Amino acid sequence: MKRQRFSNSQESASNKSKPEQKKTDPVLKIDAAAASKAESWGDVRLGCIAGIFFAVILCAFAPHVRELAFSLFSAKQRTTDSLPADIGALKKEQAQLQREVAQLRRRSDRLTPSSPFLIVSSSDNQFRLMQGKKVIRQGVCSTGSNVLLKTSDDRRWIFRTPTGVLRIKDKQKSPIWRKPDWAFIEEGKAVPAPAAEERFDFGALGEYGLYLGDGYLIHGTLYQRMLGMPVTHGCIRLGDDDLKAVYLKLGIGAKVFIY
Amino acid sequence: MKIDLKSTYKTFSGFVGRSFAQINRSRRARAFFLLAAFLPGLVVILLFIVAPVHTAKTHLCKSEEPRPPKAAETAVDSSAQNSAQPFIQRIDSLRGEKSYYQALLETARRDTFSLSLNLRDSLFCLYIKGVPVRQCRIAGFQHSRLFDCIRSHRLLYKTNSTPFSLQRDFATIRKIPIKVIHAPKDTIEAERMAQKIKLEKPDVYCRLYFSANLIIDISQTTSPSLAGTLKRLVYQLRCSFYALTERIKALAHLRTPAHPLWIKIRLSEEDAKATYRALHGDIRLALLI
Repeated sequence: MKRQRFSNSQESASNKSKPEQKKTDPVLKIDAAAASKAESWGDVRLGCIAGIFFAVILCAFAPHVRELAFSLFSAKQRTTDSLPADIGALKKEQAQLQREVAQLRRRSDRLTPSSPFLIVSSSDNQFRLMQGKKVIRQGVCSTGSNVLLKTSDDRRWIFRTPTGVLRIKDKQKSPIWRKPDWAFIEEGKAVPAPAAEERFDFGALGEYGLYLGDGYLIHGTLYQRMLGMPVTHGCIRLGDDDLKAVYLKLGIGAKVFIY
Repeated sequence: MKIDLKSTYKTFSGFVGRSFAQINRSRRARAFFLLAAFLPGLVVILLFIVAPVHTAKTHLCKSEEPRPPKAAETAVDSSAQNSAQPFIQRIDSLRGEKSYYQALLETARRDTFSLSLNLRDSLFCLYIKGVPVRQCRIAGFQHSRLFDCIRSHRLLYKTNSTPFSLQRDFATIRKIPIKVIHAPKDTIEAERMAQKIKLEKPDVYCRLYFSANLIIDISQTTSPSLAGTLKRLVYQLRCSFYALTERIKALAHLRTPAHPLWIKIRLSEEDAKATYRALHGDIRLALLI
């Protein structure tokens, strides 16, 4: 009896606790939903990391994959498909094209001057004296140092050889250099008056001078060992023998190609 | 510092194991993971692989010439086709040459500086007003397979007959190596400032981006120095970043990013440097492939 009573009391206790359990269920449900949502987000986040990693690798290899795709794909239609397969017509077509190409090549060749001209490379300080396609003489020269000289009163000069096509405007034997202001400034000297005697330097430009305009010249140098280096203030310096050859070959109006 | 490989492996395998256990716990988790993992990849495949190839293919097909009437084809037997083949190849080659010279003359007419790339003779030339001032021998070259697809296609001749214009360039060297010097106060300072001239020996790598999606990649023949390798790395990163931004820009304007027509050439350092430094302003290029 006691046991029965006890069991009854247990049952009753369990029956009492049932409504309590019913009360806690929604909370548990909410917790479970939140947990599952968080887990889903976790999966998405993990997937995103993996996906971005995969996408970056694909991005890096995309050009190679495209190349592979192009090697598989061939343009079926060729220009020549529209050509007649008749040999006679093909021969005619070929002859016509050959004539056209030869004509275009001649037009292209005619752009090179037949009279002597000079090519100067300011990048590796080399020159070539040419006549048509023939090289008459070649050697080292010196071109602009690419120095930008600045003064305290904000005056500035850039020592650069101009590029493009220039022409010989004048030729002189034993040219005299009239020193500009920068020649004194870069030596730390006071700038003299425009007509002052110390402005005129005899012999510094060598035996010959070929004037290119805007103050630029092709001239000689006292510092032969500096040839082949970018040391000038924009002019083109040549060795004595090269200068003589250039002076004798190039007439006024001759082209000088500088790059 | 000693690295404990065993513990590193354990940590890594533990992380992978835990991640996969998490993913493997339910079908839904797997679905979420796979969806998130493959979506970016799929987008990349579609935008950067499928779309450019498809665009190139449709572009080529659109520019096809109408085929000659069937009756004319049936009249020609296979032996005649075989005997016609050398003529057809020669005509192909002549058409290429014609468009190259047309482009060359066009650049000479308008530009001071221009370039020509002749892969048939392995020559890369710099022109001033149509006069070849520097002819560089190409030590080796590679090009995109897209060129093989369109080699004898009329689109190539049409494109080549107008010169390609330079739009952007990157290099490991400066285009104008300007040195700034402040004027000395007196002759003593001037003497002190007079330094020995150092001849630069830079490693030269440059990439030229032309119109019609043509990219010319120039590299020197010799292997770079350590400093050169670092500069090259920075230059490659800049190029990659530029390519990526261009793709993004194209996508933002609802255009398909196109596959570039790239050509890689190897030149001597002197040639590469001189050619790159000569490129100023509006530069155009004639191409013969």
